[in-house]
Amino acid sequence: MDEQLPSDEDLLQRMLSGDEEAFVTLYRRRQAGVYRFALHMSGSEITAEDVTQEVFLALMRDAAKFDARRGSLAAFLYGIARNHVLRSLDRQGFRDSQPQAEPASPEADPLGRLTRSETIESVRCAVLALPLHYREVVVLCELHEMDYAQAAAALGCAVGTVRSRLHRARGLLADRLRGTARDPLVAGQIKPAGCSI
Amino acid sequence: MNCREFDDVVFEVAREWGADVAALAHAEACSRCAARLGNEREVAAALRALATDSQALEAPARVERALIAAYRRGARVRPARRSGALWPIWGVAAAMVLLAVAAALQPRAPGPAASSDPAVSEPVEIAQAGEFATEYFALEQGTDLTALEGAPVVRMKLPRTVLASFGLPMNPERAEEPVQADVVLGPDGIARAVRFVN
Repeated sequence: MDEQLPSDEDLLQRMLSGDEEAFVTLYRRRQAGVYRFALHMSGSEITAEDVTQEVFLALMRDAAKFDARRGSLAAFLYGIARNHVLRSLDRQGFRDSQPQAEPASPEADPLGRLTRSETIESVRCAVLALPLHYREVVVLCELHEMDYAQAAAALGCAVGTVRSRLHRARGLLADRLRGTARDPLVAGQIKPAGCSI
Repeated sequence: MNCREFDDVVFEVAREWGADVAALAHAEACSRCAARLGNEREVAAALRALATDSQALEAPARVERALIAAYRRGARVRPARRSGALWPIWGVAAAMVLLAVAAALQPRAPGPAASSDPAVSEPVEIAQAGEFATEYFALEQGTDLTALEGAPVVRMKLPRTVLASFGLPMNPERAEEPVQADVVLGPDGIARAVRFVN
């Protein structure tokens, strides 16, 4: 017989009433996603670890701010993670720069020639080289398989904004992966619209 | 479907988020859009590879341990259990003694100290609202934390690197920032236990 798993919201309620097991279950269910989001956004395992810890401390402290009508608990957690990542990048002076980006390969068709690990590293660098407001939609929608509505809830912006940013981000990624990135399109030179970051 | 309409949906088509028969038919008939779809599929495949490669990544176990300790302190639940495994190094203990002696000149308030009794171990007695604290760590092996009930507690700032000595996660990028700690003093003014406050 299939046992019904408790929802995130159920676990949160139990956690708030002092059920440690519920907290641990919720943490184990959601920590990897939060950690990977922070890692893909920052390129730093240290930052990702720090952000993960801060997100769940914030959940203990500010769980009352969660409103299920405005989005899922996962989206709420990603929203907190996003704020912590941005603060962390601000502290490090990386907010509008390219933390670990490497020059794209000048080859005409690098994807076909790179080994799998090289490809992954190239993609990782290309994602990190994106301006933050494009990077976050790529991370949420492409790497975390969120739909537009979930990503919009996490980022606090309109679904249309997510979609248009994702389209633009894809173009930048394709350019970078082919080594044809155009200078005017690199970080910090495209004015963000919609989300307030 | 024309090329402009194709551009609007090519992203979803490349990711196979639903079969768009009209778009696929257009791509078969239009070399420009076929190339565009091919490019989009390459990007999609590259991102999928990165997502797959990252799938097993998760936060280290020490994050869970630290959070559970914080939950026990912050939640209206059972008191924290003592950890017998997290003993500080001698250098840290010595530094704490020196700091505590200096701080003992201006104790903040009679404290609840470390105890397994929930009536006296509630963190809110010292920690401000919204703060979370770790459990208390004894600075000398064999210290009976319950015997420190009612001992003075002082709030002080310690180098963040001290966290690592207690097996707690520390962000090296913030190593320059001090961390707040509640230090429990013995009757002789020597530091006996410490907890860290976020």
